[in-house]
Amino acid sequence: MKTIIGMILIVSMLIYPTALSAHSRHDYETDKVAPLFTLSNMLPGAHVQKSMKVVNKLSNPQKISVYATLKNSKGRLKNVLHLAIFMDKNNIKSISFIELLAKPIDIGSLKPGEARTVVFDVEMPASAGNKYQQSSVVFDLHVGMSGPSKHRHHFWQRWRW
Amino acid sequence: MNSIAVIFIGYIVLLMAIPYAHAFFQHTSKVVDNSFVSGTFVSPSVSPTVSVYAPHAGDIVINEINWGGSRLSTSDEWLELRNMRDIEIDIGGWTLENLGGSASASATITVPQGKVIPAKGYFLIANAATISSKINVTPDVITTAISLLDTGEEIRLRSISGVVIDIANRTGAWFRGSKTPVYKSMERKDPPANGADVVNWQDASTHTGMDASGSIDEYGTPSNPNGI
Repeated sequence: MKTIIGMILIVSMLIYPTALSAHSRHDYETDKVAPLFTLSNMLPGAHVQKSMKVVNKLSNPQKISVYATLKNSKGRLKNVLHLAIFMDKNNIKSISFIELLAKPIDIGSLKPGEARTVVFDVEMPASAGNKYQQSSVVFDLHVGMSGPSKHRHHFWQRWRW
Repeated sequence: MNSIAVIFIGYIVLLMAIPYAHAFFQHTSKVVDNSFVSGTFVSPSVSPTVSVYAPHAGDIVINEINWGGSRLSTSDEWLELRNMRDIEIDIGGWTLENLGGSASASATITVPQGKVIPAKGYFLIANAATISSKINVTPDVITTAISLLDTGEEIRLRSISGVVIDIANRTGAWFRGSKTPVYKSMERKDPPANGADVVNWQDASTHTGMDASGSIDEYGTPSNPNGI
């Protein structure tokens, strides 16, 4: 038993720092930009559209994905917001904000050098009741590329026995 | 293989999976601190809007019809109403006959409850949202049910009580407007007169409220005065 525990500790010491460094290589942020959405008096039926340009500067095709992380929430507003995501005027996704928080979604792919405009349309449904008054939600929006990475191969090569 | 060995192997696999659980993107752009704060309002379901004014024929007119679509899509059709009065008018529950996808009067589109046209204002009913259309104003109602026959239709606007408020065109060809290769909406002349008479309509000749990219061969003035 002591041998097993000792092996687990040794393996942990060997693998975990490498795992963390691999994480930092893969999931870095190219930039942090100001809020896309800032709305202080959202009423039922309101739509807000904002756009961003996504450019693939890599040499291989990239899948474009989006996810959100919740920073602060007061009340139930996050439960009622709805998103429609467009890419170059095509409706790619129509989902609830809760769904976007739950998992990343793919919205298309870009060839090397290709640029496309992604539009986010956030709606507070007209049917929203009074329980959604004076509530708020603050979130970060992550738009990223998830194509092949040489770093991932590099990580596995380090652990080839 | 005993259970301790299984746990050990599982533990190693878990540690190796950690970077992949987090490493979703190679490149990420992070837009920080987006915020929505809801205001103070009374839910429509709690206090529905009630209009006490009973509109008459001519209070609201069918002001513009884009029946030919656009270069983007033949379905890129829209219709504009205009409030001729100095008061806002609730048109929730009003109907537009023949605006839907068949030649019969049953092809009716009903304006959703709670929709109001401001005094002297415009009201746009479109097949597609701004992002999917050559219009660049926000429609008041979006419904894919709009499907006008290219051969022409008589459009009738009825109030919620069934009173005919306005008529545009007659059965048969459209009075004005065109489709490919040059798309022009059919505009009501100002001031509006009998909508069932061809002399009171004109081809759109300007493009206000339209995408700039469509300005060469697409004409219309959605949610804007005609002819401007």
